[in-house]
Amino acid sequence: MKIKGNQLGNTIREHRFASNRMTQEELAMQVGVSRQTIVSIEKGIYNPSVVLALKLSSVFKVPVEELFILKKGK
Amino acid sequence: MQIKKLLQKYKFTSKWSIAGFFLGAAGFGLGLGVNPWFLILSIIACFVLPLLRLLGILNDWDEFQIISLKKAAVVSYTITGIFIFYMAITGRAGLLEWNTESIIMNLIPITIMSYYLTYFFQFWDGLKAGRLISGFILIFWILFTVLSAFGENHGFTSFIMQSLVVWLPLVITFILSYYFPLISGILMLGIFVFHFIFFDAYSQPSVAFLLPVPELIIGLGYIKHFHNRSRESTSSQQQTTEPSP
Repeated sequence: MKIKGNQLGNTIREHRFASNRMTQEELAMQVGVSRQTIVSIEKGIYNPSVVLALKLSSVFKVPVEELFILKKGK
Repeated sequence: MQIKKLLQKYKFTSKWSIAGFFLGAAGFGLGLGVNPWFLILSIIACFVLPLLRLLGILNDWDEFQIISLKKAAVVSYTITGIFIFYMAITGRAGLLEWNTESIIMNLIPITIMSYYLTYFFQFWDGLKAGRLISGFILIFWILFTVLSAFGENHGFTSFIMQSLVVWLPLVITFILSYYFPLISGILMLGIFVFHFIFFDAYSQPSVAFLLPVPELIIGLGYIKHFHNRSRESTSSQQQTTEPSP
């Protein structure tokens, strides 16, 4: 999703695969959201709140900056 | 604790939206045809739970669901508002006559359809949302054609004719969407044009919102899904062909 000239990318999919091929459903259960919310975050359709981003980073035990990357837009 | 776990497991996204949509449509139909008190069922099914969620009284949905709900509420409010202005302008100018019955018949489907169409397309991708709405519309129109042909004794020929015109094209696009979303989307746009002209929808906004408008949105949703999928596959191909540093 674009944020005024910037674009927010994420590495959730890569981290899920690195964590024993965790499914979207399992991740959704762990952070307390629906699977579709995880799908939308991975696709970049939806930018999660700070709380959800922190929950996701605590599941993968990585800093938030490693999960979400602010790229410069085209 | 068990109830909390169950609530977490079943987020009610699809189930409650579908149930709300059906109860709303059933309540509206029964309210107009049988007893006006059934309209209360429509209001409760369609708007009470979402309102409680928006106010934060009910906390069973996550943040993305709530954001989708908010967008749906704003879009539905705006479209209904525009339509109220349209009624006021055409009514005062003497172009169209509006009475209580026609206002109810037009406003309720417009509000409900704009609300659910926005929510579904906001929350799911174009293909899934399109299929879900196609399914609702199919069930609604199959029931309508069956009841109108056999309930009002119009006969089997009338049933065949209504089926060919109304819901058979939708069945074809519904099945095609699983294999060829782009073709299905283009066909859906064609069906939208046909139904819009056939049902004289420009003079009957409620009819437009019950069939042609959802068809237009579903068609665009299928095409958008195809476009997104081809863009994703192109970018993933580019990633795999790029030489590693």
